[in-house]
Amino acid sequence: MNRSAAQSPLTVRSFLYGESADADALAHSLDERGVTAVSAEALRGLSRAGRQTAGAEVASVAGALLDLDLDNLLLGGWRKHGELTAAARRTAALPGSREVVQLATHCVTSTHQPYVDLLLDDVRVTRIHFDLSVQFLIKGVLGTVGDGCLLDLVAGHCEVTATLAAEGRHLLTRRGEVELPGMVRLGAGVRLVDPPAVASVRAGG
Amino acid sequence: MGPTRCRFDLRRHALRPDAPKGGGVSRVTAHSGWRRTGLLVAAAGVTAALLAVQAPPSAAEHDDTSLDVVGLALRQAEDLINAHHDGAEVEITQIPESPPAALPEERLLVVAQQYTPASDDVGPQHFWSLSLGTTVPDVASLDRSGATQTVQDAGFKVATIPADAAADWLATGSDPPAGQVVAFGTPVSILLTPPDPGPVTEPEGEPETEPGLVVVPDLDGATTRKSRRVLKATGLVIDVSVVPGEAVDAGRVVDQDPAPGSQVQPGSTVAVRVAQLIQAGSSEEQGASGTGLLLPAVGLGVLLLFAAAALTFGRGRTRRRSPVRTRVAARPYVGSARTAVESVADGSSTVTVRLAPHSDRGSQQCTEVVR
Repeated sequence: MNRSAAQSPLTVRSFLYGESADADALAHSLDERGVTAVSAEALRGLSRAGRQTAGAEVASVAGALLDLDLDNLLLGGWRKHGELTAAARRTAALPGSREVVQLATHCVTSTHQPYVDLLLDDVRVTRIHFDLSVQFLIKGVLGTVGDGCLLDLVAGHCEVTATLAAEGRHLLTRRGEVELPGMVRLGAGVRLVDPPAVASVRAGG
Repeated sequence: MGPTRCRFDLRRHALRPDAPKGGGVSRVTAHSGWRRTGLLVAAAGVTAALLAVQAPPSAAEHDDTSLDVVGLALRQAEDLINAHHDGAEVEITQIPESPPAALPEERLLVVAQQYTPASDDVGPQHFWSLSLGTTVPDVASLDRSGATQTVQDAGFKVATIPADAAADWLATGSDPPAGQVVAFGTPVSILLTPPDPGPVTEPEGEPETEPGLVVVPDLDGATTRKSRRVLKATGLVIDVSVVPGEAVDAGRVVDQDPAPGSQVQPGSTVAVRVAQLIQAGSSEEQGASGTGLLLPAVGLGVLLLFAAAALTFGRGRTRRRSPVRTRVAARPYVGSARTAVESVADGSSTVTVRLAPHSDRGSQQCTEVVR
């Protein structure tokens, strides 16, 4: 799965359900695992068509909750990586300096618990919980850090494993490999440490 | 992410998606729930009719419905029945046994039929009972005696209206009217008028009606419909009950309470007993569980079919006059990136379903993998 920076970002939804992901795929999963029945039971006062429509809309809304960019999740993990943040602090203290950091094999895990409330005439009748877990196993990364930012990725790839569940019922697990230089959009650089941290490094000298 | 608002019609309509859901405009349009209801009622009607025809065991006497001889001349009906059973032993009973001898054979017509299969293997295997009748003769312009004789020769009972008409009064018609086929023995009222209408005089011998009271009319031999009409015109209420009777009395009033000529308060109820045809030799139980159940069940089936037709086609015409009655549509919700589902219903019973998504940016952990 190679992507260039010019391409649209790879999201969790497209990773799970493919590039042409639509609400029908998720709706099918929800229906197959009995999650749609939860909303239907809560809306049993409605017509059958109304419940079906509501079920389809739950899938549509839940799909939007999966529109999370994978690279943002990975960068969120890297902001907690010791070697990267240390290099960021050093380069921030010395403007114009650059460091190439080779990272050991590591794992970034991102967990999410979004949910959808169903309100009938503004009274909540049920809440549908989702559990999303995205795991990145990163190998052979060479990153360039300067001015407290991650400026470039020279090499490295990662294995991504995404798991989605709803109401405690497993819906889907998808595994894939991505090349990091293509997946992560760095632009002019992604800040790894906050400005106060930069100031404290300068003050500490 | 803004909330998604869905509005549905509470009524149970069958909906058909017109476009895929999720993102952009999606639409779900109600096709006619009334049409579905109509079809369901039609199915119920057909079921009831089928049950009526098939279910009651005692209805077997009507079971040979593939052969309908009503309206045919007696000889033609007998030939058809014998041919229908193809050589099997058939016993045909005609009611009355002795029709008027003056009538030519071709004027003996079947007005009702009943069929009963044999209960054992001895004797005839098929029993048919044919009620006979003929057309009411035309008595217009005949005098009272001539009209009376004509009607009697045709095999009917005679009643004159008014009952005290003079011999020289002329007939203007009859009830039932001339040409109508009715069973022998049916009362036929001859309508008479004076030949030269003179001054109207109060009939002698009539008891004077007390102020505020009405006289109960004589309903003997009248149909239920006519009795209802007469009583309504008199200001009285009818209460109909059914009693077993002969073929000639079928559908006719055989008894009434209060008796004719009684003076009662306007609005009083007059109980009339209408004869219902039962098979000769059958028990009352058979009459009650056979014909008595069959006819209402068939009537119910027909009624349901009419209701289905009214719902299906009547509602269809209404929908054409007002094309958008009820629909559920999903469309972009103003002020939100998500879609909304709303109903456009002609009724007021709508509910709003709102979907409130709560995203979670999540938390990330970074751990080194030790190899």
